[in-house]
Amino acid sequence: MADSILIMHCKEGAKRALARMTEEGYKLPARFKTFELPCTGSVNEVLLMENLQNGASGVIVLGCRKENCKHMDGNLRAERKVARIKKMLSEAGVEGRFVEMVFAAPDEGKRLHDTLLRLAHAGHSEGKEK
Amino acid sequence: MSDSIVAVICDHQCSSKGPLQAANLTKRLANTTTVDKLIVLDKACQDPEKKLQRVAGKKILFAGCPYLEESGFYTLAAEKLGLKPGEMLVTDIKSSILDLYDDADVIEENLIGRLESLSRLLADSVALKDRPVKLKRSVLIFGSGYSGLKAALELSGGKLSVDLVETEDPPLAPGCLAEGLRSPNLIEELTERVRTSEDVAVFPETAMGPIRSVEQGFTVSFNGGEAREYGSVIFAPERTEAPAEEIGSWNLTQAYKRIHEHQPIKGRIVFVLDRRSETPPEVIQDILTAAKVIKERTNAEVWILLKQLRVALPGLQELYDLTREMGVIFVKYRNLRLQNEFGDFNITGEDPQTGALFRISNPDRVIIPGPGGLGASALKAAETLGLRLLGEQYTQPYSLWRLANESNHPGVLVCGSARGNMDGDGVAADAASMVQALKARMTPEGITPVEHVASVDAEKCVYCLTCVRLCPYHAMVKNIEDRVAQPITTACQGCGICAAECPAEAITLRNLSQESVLAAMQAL
Repeated sequence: MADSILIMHCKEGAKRALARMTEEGYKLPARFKTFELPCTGSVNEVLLMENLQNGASGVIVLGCRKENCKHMDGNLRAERKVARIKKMLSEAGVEGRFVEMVFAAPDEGKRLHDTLLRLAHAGHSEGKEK
Repeated sequence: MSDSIVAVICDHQCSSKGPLQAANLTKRLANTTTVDKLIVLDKACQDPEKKLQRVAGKKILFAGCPYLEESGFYTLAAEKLGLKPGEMLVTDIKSSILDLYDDADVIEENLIGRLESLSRLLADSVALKDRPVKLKRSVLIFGSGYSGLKAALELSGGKLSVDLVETEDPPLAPGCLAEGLRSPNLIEELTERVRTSEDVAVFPETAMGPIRSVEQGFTVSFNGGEAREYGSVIFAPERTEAPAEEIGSWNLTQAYKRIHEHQPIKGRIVFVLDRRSETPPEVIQDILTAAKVIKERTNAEVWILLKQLRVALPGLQELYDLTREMGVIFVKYRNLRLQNEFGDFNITGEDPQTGALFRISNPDRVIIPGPGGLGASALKAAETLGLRLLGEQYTQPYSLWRLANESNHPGVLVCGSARGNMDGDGVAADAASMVQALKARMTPEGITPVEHVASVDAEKCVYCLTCVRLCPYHAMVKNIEDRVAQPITTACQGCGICAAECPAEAITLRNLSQESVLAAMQAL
């Protein structure tokens, strides 16, 4: 778990987006781990914080594209919680750890890959610089 | 069923890095605690029954490609081995492990991590002993317009009992009136057939009490009497048209009323289309029908001003040709100006191709179709039923995940022109498709709750009703006697939004509690 980046994704659109990404031949570094949930709406602050506490250097919540959530607004609820935790982390001055919300549609393989790598890179370098 | 967990991996050239090394995996798995045995199958999809014999009597964690699910391998496995949901977990390792990483070592490590993680979830989960809930074999239809009547007639004479709520709201919406013009007395005949039918009970909307969700469907009481139970509610109100936007002009409904009542229409009649937005083909069809009837009955001069004519409906081109032959004048415009001095209109515009100006001075009647939407009582009913509206137009969001007639509230089917602009044929077709959706819901076997159904701990629940407010499926209701929130298991889809938002942490998903999810995440 140490130094890993945990992707919590829903089993609907986001799962398909990940599948599309791999179908297009994009690979992720070994740091990335994935975990499937019924909907990103079921993510709460405890899940996000506990994972950071257990040594994950980043948690990415990967939801369906906005307005395309199967469960209406589960992804937007997750976004709000991620924003809350992000604010808490920055207020507490935590370095080298991040939480992010990413939205992906099932046809956005390349964009998803780029976003994930960018986030991992940004989260990593931020910690080192400081 | 013993509590030991067997992991079964199908490895049929799924990985681009070559076949998995079973020996390596077993060695790595020896360090973990929860998985007792590992079996690597070469091709699980081929001759599955023989291969399944080896793993009988244990909790099983299947890891394979998505094809195994599509081909029904897991269903067959569950059937053969007598596994219930909760005793078996399935994970797609192709896209999330085998193809996700580049290095064979990383793949192995992550695969073991995944097995370890999911086996913790599986160890905590219990086998389901749910009995399917049988829905009440009756249907409530809200709306007595063309679609509501059509739906009632489609369903009557079957094994379902049908109740129809007559809405007062729209006298008759333009689509309905236009349908009435195409075949006179259609609505009256349909109403008569429904009223005289022995299978259909008709109630006025004013007598209707609130709709409550229960396990078997819904309950409604009429005139404060005994609650009637329904397995499904069909929402089929008529669309209404916005009132005329300019003083002295008519909207289409007003024009149709005049035509229906055989009131005199004379002089120069001007229809103005595409004024604020593009007029949909269904409305154009209604307008052409009105123009045709006016031309047939009177010697009025009919103008139709429009930006474009999209003949996207069968029969619309013929109707256009016919009305043009009858002498209806079609004018394409740009930069239309509508000067209105207390009902005295002065219309000027430009020809889009030549730029030539045209002018219609003081026409006798200007008809501007307004945007369609749901009427006040329909909106109120939609709110009671918890339907999500998208703008003013649709009673449900367009979604690829659901059938056309299904709404966000399981059991409430939306039918007819409430779903958008529809002509008479469209409404009839939609009533038929609604019957199919109803059949899919009301199976004789009943509805089995989903595996991750939400449950409320009555001790912890503080009756804040957060979950009742935010459940996208209206699957949480308030239990007034015990002052707790109560899930409707037949409606719950197991998304977990309620569990994540509950401030008292009183809601858990079955086989997916927060503790087990955390433990599973740690094992990755």
